[in-house]
Amino acid sequence: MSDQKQTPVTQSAAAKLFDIRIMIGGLFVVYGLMLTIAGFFTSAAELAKAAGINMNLWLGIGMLILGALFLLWAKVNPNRPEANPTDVKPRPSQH
Amino acid sequence: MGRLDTNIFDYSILAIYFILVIAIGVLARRAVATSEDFLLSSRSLPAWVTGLAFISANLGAIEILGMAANGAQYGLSTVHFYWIGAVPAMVFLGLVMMPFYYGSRVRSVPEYLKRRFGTGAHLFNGLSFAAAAVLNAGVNLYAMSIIIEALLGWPTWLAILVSALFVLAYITLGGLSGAIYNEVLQFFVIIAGLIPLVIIGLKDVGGWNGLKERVVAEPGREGFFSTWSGTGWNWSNPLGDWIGIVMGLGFVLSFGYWTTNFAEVQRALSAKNLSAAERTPLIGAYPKIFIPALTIIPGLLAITVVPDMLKNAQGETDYNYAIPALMGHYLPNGALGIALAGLLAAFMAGMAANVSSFNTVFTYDIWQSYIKKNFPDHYYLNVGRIVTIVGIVIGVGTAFIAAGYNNIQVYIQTLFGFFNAPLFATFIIAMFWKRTTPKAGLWGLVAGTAGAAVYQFLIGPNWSHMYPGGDMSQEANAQMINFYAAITAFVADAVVTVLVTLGTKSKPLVELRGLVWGVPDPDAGDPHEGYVRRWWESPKLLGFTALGIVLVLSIVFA
Repeated sequence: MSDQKQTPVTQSAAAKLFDIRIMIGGLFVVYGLMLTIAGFFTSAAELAKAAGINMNLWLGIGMLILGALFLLWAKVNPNRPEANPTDVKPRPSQH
Repeated sequence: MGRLDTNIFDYSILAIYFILVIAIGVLARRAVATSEDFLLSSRSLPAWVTGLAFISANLGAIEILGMAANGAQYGLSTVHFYWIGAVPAMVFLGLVMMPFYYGSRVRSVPEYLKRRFGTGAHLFNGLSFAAAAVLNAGVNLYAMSIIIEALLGWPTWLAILVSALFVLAYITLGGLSGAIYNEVLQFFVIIAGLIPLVIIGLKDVGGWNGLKERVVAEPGREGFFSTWSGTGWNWSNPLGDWIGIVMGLGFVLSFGYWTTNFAEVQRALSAKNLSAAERTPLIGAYPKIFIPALTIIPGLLAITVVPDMLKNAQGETDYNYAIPALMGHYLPNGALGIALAGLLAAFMAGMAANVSSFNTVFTYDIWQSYIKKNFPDHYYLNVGRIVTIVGIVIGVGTAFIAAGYNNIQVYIQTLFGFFNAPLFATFIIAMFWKRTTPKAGLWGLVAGTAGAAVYQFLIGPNWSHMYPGGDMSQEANAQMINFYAAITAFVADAVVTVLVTLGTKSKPLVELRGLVWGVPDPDAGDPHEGYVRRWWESPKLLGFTALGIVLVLSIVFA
């Protein structure tokens, strides 16, 4: 945190760090869509190869859900990098 | 191992992933203004990010392919590397040691030794860690190039250069934040890549029981579905006797790696407060408990479903191909691309974790401590960037050292035996015995490292107990020798530390504030700053629940 800096000249820019949840969510939604769509065109040969499981479809749906959850989380609780502001408040030392 | 049947769909998935990897580096660059931003993320990250990065930094290629190889070679006994060999140490790091590391505001593990012991132990540890980190980075690169060549047909040198360049780009730009964010992303992608293998594979062989029937039907694999059988003194377990597993692996190697390896501890030091730092290894412990399902099961599937595919370019058996072979056997294009992206990301993460800890130790503990002191912060930011590039270049060179070994895991364990095993002895004595002297810190480490090497090369190979069935005409059990070498290192370190302490002068207590148990730093405020607010954030609850799950699983799969 910025109060840790020895040199007052340069301030920490850590607060400018972006939210990784949007990256994870975005990537998984894109992958999920790609795989789900591919899952509708699975050939009989691919199905036989994968022990009868339409893997692209199921993996695609799973990734879509996970991606959506990450985007939802980032939307519902957008505070970053300090997800919870009470974390950084100095506390009186007591036992 | 033949080529994977990749097509444009898989390559699109890979391309998207690699674009995102660079994007993370570029975007994280905006959050880098000081050397601490670059090397420590300025202690700003939430616990779930640092916790997943903590486990991901260890979930490199060596871990995944090596553990699947161990699963193929040793069966379920491989869980010892996860349950007894990782989780207890992670819990100990979070609950016991993190207050000393995070609370004392040190910037690295060697810096703790500098403040606790002074120059000798600090230099010894700083230099040996830096060496081990670039060696590990090189091992990752080498492993990656071999696999990429086999799977995609790229020549080894091209694979090494391309992946090194990607790692270089996102770490020199985004620093530790770039590395950690990529680790978190990689965690989810590799899980998404491995789960389909396990689901399809288990359905194919008739579930868990079907797998078990098929595996134990093979001669020599009767014990593959038990974890503790044959671990008595006259051992027949593939990992050796219980002394080696419990004391060597579970205590010395595991605690040495997880609690003192800066590549791991650094992730916790980047957390935004002490509570988040304590929870970092505890959050990491939960995936660690269940990852064996995604590595050992593929290993067992591979030896039953695709035994003929487990061969390297020279036609020799190589169990490191267990996961790639199953990917080629089962996955349709698309899911294959995801698994491939996860695997390549894991290779890069394994390397990036080492490089991003190497640059911090080199910049702060070597350059700033001994070569150019008292320069403005901006200078050390530049040094950090240059050292990152140098570390990657050395890693590329080191990649070829690994070429002589076929089971990568054994090679890594050998390194741990020399560098990490004595460390835990020194740290635990340093943290809990305030009398321990600076000279004892140095000579304990030296003695422990020497002890490991002496056992590895002189004692172990000449003791019949290290050989299966005591038959010295066979090959000695490499894991047994590693585990016992670690025990030797620990004992040598502890004995020398105590003896030297008794004969030399301690540091005044005032210099040890916040570094030693029972010597609090009055200026540090409440040691549990950022105290537990919500019940599920209690470190004790998280830690003991993890231990409980491990205990139950250990009994179920005994």
